[in-house]
Amino acid sequence: MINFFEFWNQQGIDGFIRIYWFYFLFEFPRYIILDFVFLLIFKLNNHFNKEGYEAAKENLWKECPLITIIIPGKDEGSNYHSLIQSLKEQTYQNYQLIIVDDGSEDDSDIIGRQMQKEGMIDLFLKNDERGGKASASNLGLRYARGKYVIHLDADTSFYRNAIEEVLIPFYQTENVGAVGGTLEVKNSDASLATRFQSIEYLMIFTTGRLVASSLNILRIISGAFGAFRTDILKELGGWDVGPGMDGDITLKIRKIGYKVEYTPSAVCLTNVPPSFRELANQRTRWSRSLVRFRLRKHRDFLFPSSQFRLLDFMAIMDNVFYNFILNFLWWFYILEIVINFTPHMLNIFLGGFILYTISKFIEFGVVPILSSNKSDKIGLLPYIPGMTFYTGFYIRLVRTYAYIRELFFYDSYKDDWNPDKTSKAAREVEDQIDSVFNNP
Amino acid sequence: MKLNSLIIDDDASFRVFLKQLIEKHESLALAGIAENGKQAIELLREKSIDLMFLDVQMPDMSGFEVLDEVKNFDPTQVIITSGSSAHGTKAFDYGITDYLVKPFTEERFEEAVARVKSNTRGTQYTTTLINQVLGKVLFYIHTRDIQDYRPLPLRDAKLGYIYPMLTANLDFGREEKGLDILEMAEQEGFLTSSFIDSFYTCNNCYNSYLFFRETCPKCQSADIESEEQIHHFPCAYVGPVSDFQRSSDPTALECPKCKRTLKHIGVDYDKPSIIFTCNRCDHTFQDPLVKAKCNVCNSDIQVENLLKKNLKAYQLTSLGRDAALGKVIIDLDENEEMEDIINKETFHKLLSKEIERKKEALFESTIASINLENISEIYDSIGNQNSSKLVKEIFELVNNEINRSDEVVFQSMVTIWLLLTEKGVEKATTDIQRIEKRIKELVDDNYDNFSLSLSNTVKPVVTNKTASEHLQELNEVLLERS
Repeated sequence: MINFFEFWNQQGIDGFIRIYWFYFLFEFPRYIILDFVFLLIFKLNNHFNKEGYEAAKENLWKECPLITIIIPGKDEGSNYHSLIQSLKEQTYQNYQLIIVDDGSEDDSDIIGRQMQKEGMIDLFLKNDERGGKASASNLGLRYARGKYVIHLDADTSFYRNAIEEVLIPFYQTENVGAVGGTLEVKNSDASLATRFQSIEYLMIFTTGRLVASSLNILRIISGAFGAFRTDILKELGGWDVGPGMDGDITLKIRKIGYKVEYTPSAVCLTNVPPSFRELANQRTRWSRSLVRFRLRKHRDFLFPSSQFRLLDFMAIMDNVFYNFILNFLWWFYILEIVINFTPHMLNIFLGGFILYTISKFIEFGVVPILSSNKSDKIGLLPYIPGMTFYTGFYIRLVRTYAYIRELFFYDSYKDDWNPDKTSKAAREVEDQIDSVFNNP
Repeated sequence: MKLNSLIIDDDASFRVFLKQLIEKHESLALAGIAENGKQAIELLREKSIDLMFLDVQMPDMSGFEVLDEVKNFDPTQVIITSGSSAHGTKAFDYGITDYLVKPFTEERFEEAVARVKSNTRGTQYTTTLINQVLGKVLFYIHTRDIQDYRPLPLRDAKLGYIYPMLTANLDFGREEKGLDILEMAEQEGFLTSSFIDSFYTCNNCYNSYLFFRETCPKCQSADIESEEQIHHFPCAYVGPVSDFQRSSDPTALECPKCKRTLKHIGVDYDKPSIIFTCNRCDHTFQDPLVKAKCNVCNSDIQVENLLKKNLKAYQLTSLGRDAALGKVIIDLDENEEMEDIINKETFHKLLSKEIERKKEALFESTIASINLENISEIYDSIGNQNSSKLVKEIFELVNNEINRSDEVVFQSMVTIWLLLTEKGVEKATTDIQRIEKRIKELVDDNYDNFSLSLSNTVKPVVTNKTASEHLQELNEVLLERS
């Protein structure tokens, strides 16, 4: 211990910053300063814009448009009842409910058909041949009659005003094409993995997306809970082959000139993978899509072209830089520290742990400010120190592995998340984009 | 179907006169002539007789003595012919349908026959008739040496099939009874069977001339269209085939989203499902309701509720052969179980007894009715046969719930009457409520989306009113409510 204090006394402030340059250069400005600045802006905005919000709410109720809720999924029959129950509790009730069963192998279709008969589902569609999530969503879209489409996962449930809240931004700002809701973790108490994810969802998704939305660089609307203008979706022909179809459709909506908003007031709860192994699989899939969609399919965003817009560029750059480039730079940083400070590793590790823990606590501080349900967030506090290892090492490791696999082996096209037929066809199409791009 | 008639008279000239009248009459067939009581009894045992013209005064025995001897014979199928009107009261006591005093006019004869006929229609097919028809069928199979007694397809038949000799002996309205007769004969050991096919009939009128079609599950309209869906793999677009058709070239399919031409099914696209739309109510759905419309009674029935009948080929057993030759008596007993259940008369009798009993001793008794208010909706959808089954089930359930000394009957298909002995109104009411709850559970559990509503009336049995008055009161309360 004496050793520890002596070491840091010697280093001084300069040395501290020198050693944790990665944190002070990249992470502190992005996750602490930027977050709090924009939180302030958001709060002030809300404060002065309260009338705007109230007016938007009034307009929504005045028009009270029919909306369509699309729920695609495979083997989700067991979730239908609780899902519909959750929807019945909603303050907004003028909806057409379409559930698309993508080639389920269990009794989902029997359950769905029965519920349609009983009038609990407006339209239950089953594809006998599995076509992948995008095709299931598109089938639902084809028969959607509502003015807005709300895309949900079957295993989610909602705060009572979630649907109402997710629609309000359409009436608050002009030219909004899509609105993302907030995802929180339903099974938070299930395991250590779900607790970490619970904190992660609160910090990264809630705060991160709020900041991105304020900056107009929101690049993803979660497929588990997003609202879209039906006419725009139909114009785009719906979703493209996934994985990563959420991010893809968001980018396409941006590309044709519509705004994409995020609202922290519309909250849905979703189940997350309960074990680290399953979590690794899920994150691998997410990370692959970064390479596939940002760096391959939509790389036109990154280069000056007729469609180039600064905000889009920033949206992508933020994503690519912080998730992709920094991910690799991190390993370089560790290497640099290990080489230059070999004898002091223990002290540096301990210091880093303290630094990141304090930083995470500060970051987490914004959560109660934004969240409507504050008390149950307190229970997560003891787990925050563990987040250093969770985001610092576990998530980074998974990501790095996924990026490398995708860059060199095109793993996402082999993922059984999609049937082979669609993956194969999608790859052919996306390869063509590549060649068009390379030979103008 | 003609009524097999038997003449019993000792006067030869009258026998000839009556024979002529019978042969002339379109709904009568002469089955035999007896000169005295002894001959008559023999003929009655040998043959299946539907109508008896019976003289009263004969040398060996009186007409009434003949009736006493053949106890099973239904007196409503008897017309007395007598030279004197003196036996009128006695004939009335026997329940005989008509009494002709000789000489009588042809009109009077016609009238008497019409009365018997209307009786026959009222009791529908009597056991006698079933036995008689079966006798003919067995005889036919035996004499023609038919190894396999098979049904023949016939468009004009009610079931779409006829069994030679059997169907022709039944009215069109009752042709389906033929299958029951054969079934009973098989159970009795006269026939064995082998399965040929099965078919469905209307659950209301038993016709098998049905129009099957897909209908909209929402508005039941048959005006619906179906379209195959195409899933285009490269861009994940899914939509009906018409989305992919361009007016310029109807044969080529072009994706409306990515504008590519579809190449080959299974390679770049497939057809994962079919979707229906209703032209009347604009409903979209994948599982149309298949309904069958009966060509005869116009019932529109969900196929799940149609009646399934098995079509069989029959072979004569040695017992059946003996029956065909008259060595064994054919005595099928068509169990009309419903008679025990819907039986106002017995209930009336028991209630009368209870009132008498109450006059003797001091105790409380209660009568009650339970009205199954909306059960007709179920009856309509499941057809006659299944409705009877349901009534039986409810009857058994109620029977299990009450004491042995209590009585339950169905007054009609929708109203249950109960007699609860030695119980006051208060205690009976709790019993009735419990029974109601059980009935509701039974019905609601078995029929989706249906909630049975019930109502009840409970009245004490009092000694200063007759049974009829009691029952009338029960009904009046019911009528007031509706």
